[in-house]
Amino acid sequence: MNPSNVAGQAADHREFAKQLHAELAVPTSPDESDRYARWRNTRYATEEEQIAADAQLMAELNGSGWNRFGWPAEVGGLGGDVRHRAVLYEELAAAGLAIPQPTLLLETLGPPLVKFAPALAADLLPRALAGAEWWGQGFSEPEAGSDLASLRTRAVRDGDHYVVSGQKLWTSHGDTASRYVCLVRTGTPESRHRGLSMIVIDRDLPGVTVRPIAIASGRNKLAEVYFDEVRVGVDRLVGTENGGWAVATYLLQFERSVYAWQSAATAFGRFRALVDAAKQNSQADGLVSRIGALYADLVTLRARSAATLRRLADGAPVGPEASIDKIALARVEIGLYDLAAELHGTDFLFGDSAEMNEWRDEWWYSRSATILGGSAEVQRTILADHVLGLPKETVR
Amino acid sequence: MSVLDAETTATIRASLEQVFVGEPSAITDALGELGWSEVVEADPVTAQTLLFGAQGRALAASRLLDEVALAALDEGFTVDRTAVAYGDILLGAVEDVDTIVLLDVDRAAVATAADAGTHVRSSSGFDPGGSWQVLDRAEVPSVPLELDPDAVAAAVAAVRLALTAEIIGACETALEMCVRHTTAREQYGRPLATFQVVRHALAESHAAVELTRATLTGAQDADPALAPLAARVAKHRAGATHALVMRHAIQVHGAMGLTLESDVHRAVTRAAALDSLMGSHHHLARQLGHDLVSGAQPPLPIVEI
Ligand SMILES: Cc1cc2nc3c(=O)[nH]c(=O)nc-3n(C[C@H](O)[C@H](O)[C@H](O)COP(=O)(O)OP(=O)(O)OC[C@H]3O[C@@H](n4cnc5c(N)ncnc54)[C@H](O)[C@@H]3O)c2cc1C
Repeated sequence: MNPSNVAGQAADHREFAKQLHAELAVPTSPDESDRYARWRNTRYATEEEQIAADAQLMAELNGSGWNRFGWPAEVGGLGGDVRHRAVLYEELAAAGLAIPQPTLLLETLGPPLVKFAPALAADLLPRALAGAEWWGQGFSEPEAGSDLASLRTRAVRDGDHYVVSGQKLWTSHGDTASRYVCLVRTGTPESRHRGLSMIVIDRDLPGVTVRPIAIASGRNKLAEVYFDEVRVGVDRLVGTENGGWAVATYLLQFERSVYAWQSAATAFGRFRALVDAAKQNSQADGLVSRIGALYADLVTLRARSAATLRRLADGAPVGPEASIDKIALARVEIGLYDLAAELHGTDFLFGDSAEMNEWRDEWWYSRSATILGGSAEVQRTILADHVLGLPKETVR
Repeated sequence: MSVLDAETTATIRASLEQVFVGEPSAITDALGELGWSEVVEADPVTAQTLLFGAQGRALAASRLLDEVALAALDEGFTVDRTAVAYGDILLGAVEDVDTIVLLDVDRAAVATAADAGTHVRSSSGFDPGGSWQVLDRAEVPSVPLELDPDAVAAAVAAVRLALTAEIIGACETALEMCVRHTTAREQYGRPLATFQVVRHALAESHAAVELTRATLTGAQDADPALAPLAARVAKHRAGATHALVMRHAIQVHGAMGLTLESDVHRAVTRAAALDSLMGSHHHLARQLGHDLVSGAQPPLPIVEI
């Protein structure tokens, strides 16, 4: 079944939500088969299996058109805006179909590609939406974490190519991704953020080596990526040479806001499971209060995130205040998984059920909420500098 | 969502500042001069948020909240003759009214001001600057109001949303004091606001205030059937925000923050009193949690995109 009344749904995300909700619901009649059955509440033993299955779900959604809403026609979309994408993630999570892992990065990297490299986006985005490939974000390096502008991976122009050498670190999905959207230095070593460019580097180019990195749960969430004189066509540039910081700044508003919405949708499902678990036994008063406070935190995150997404949909820039979304997200993530650990007690620590394994995996991943994409401290500094306008910290 | 555009809202916000500089008794006249009824007509929800936000920022006391409660109850009580007791707290003296509506989270009753008169005392407690009155309810005969429970819930929700807006205002004022003070005062040869711990405390406070604002808007836009729940969440958020902001506000002011010479204490005490009305944030967290764990209601997202 294809979405009917595409124009109507593109114009009205609530209508889209209604149709999608019906599409993803478990069929109630025994004559109808559930085409999403294999993805529902499925847990995968490894990150690689998970991302492959997620990509197949994207292919399924793409074939029938559902995940093409929210993207412009030029990149194979069916129209609508970021709210349509928000609806998709929410409905997937609510139907027990995990938000596909590749979309976490697609939401960060897709919008800047559409804006700053339309030709490249027209070529690559349809494939990403179809789950045929996914991308990594190559920003962080061994010597450039919070201080991103100090990054060293160099790209030297040679005719119609750049020659790229250096190392990226902590690349999410790095070991399975087909391409990396990288921030590289095209200016002098001292040029800080003025000498950076954004460029798409294919994984299969000569000189690219990748090594997976497992986080403490044992899952290969990350990778390090080495570039050894990799020749990349200049047509792979996103934005202008030395204009990479502007692209990164544009990108960050999506990284901080859409990611918050996606995380909220997932967290809401996990919170429901936690409440069900809490009902099984009588709980100490303190824990009951924390369940209530966490619920309020979740509603707050949704309220803030929805407001931000509406602003993005209106084309209004979302500046440094996106750090507030990130702060709300971190509060929920840390709070939720700490509460899960406490509620499940020794079972969380020592139980060997699939359920406890999952809580432990997620507990580890949740710790990244105050680190990735600008740490909790960095977000607070952004607000102090750019929103409150406090005098700058002086470096001694 | 607001039907007033951002520019109009900003203009109204600015003119409301003037309304709360005078005596509480002058508020009604000042609002009349401002043409307030037209704003209310255009967008009652935004109007209420702006009004209570301004009262909060001014750290002013009035009986405007009684109007909200009585209008929501819709039983024909008028504010010139009726006062509201929120639990056992009244917003002002009862000499000028003849009826008191006793509003609790799940029921309402009425008493005569004459019966209540000798059992009301001015509070000289934590917020002596306010006009709070404490009613000794055990001593006052009252008659239950035969109301649909939904009507009481709606009134409580309306009061909680107004209180949320007012607490946001009080927190904004406290935060402004903090920004001004830490930018001006120097220690170790540099402004306090250049120290990261101070900067982060204020950034966190700002985030909390903005997140409360978003929660309030989310609650106002929620499906009417969810309004009581949404208002509970919003009031909890506001109370929790007040606790965070005021803790930081006292800290970054140093000794000055504890004195009567600085205005910080006014924000601290007023916001604490507002938090306690119709359920403190601790109380509401426990209740939200209890309802979830007892299965009274499943976790509902409340806010839709
Ligand atoms: C799960 C996960 C996925 C990730 N995915 C990606 C990805 O796909 N692509 C990518 O490019 N990167 C990715 N990252 C990297 C992430 O962006 C960095 O970890 C982050 O920028 C912080 O850098 P760092 O880890 O080097 O920490 P550091 O910068 O070394 O910071 C360590 C600690 O010091 C604090 N600190 C640093 N500077 C200051 C300061 N000025 N003031 C106060 N405190 C300070 C930080 O807040 C932090 O608490 C990922 C990280 C994680 C955990």
